[in-house]
Amino acid sequence: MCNDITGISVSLIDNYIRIIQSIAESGRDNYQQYLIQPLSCWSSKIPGESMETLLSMIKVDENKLSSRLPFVYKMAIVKSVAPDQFDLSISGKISKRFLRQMKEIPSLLASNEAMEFIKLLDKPFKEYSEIEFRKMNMQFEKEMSEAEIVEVENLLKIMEGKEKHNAKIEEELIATLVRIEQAVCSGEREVIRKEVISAILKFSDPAAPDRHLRILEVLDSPSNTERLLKKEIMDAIAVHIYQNTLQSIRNGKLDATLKYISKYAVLFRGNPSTPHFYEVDMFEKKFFEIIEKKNLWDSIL
Amino acid sequence: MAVLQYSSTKKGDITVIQIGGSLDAETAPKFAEKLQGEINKGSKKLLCDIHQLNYIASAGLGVFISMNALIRKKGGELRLSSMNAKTRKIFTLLGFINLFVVYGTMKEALEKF
Repeated sequence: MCNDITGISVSLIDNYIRIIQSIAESGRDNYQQYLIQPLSCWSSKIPGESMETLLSMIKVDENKLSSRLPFVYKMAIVKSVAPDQFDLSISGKISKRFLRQMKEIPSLLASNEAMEFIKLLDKPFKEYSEIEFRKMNMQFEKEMSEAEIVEVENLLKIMEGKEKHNAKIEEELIATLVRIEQAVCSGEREVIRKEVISAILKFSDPAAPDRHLRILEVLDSPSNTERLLKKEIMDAIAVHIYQNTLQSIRNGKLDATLKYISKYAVLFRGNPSTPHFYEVDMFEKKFFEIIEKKNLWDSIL
Repeated sequence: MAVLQYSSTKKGDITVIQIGGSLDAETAPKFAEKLQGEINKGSKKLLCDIHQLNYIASAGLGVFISMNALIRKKGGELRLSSMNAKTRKIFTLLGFINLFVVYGTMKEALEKF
């Protein structure tokens, strides 16, 4: 295998989960080409156990945190794509579960099987992501070209009417900070991660661009581990925002698209090392190009 | 290929930065470096005249936010002048319009900053 992945970050895992979901929704051909085929190259040895047995073994080994767990996952995934399997949706489901559990079980994340799995899907997933990006770009253009002046005016009103309830927001933020401090005290990495990610997404706002920094401050610590967690969290948020931007374009929700673009600006502040930096920029450009092309600015002014 | 024009002059204690062209993901990192350079040299009053700016993306807005935060820590401020109608709409649409002090003209900015 020729690729340069050396470690598995949480944002990489989140991205893989999203891609599998997207492949599954995009139809049988893509599912076959970008997931089933690459996974069938993982091993030529198809386990003799039935799919049901392998799924039970996963459950048992997860509960026991058995060292055999990574291998059992590999067996189950290899079995799920074997020619005699009829329900191909199982391979997507197990793959997502394998990824989710990597975030929960450190030994699973550190296993050779986890790295093999990630590397196996690297090239097909990159290929699929490029196709998906081009498709979304075209769809965005189409959605935008169908947008009426009134929609753009409504978007402006939405953005201008924000930030009316500062006192309430402050109250909510304080309660959230208390919850995050408790999570930090518990030392449970995954709990901290979830709390902080959802809080940052909620409280990042162009009208108060430093508000979310108070959440990140809770994580400040001289230890390297904490700094790594902070980067992990911000990368995961960038992936999340990108995913939601794609989703809102897919659903034709222009106000949501703008909201995510604004959040991206507030949180990442022009930092080119942020995941999906250039993709988000491309969507934005398209958005404003269409407004320009349709002379919508003049109508608004 | 996006292009950003950049020039910097001193008007009393104000550092006037004039930019034109496109401030997007391609040009924003270099622009950030330039502004950071001005701040590191000790500028406390940064005035960005954006009259000639044809396009600004969130990456560019992000640079304004981060540089304003940086200069504020040193007791200074970044302000804008001569925002054209199109740029103003982008600032508004993305929710950033009230974040900066914006002067109508550079002359006004130099008098009031």
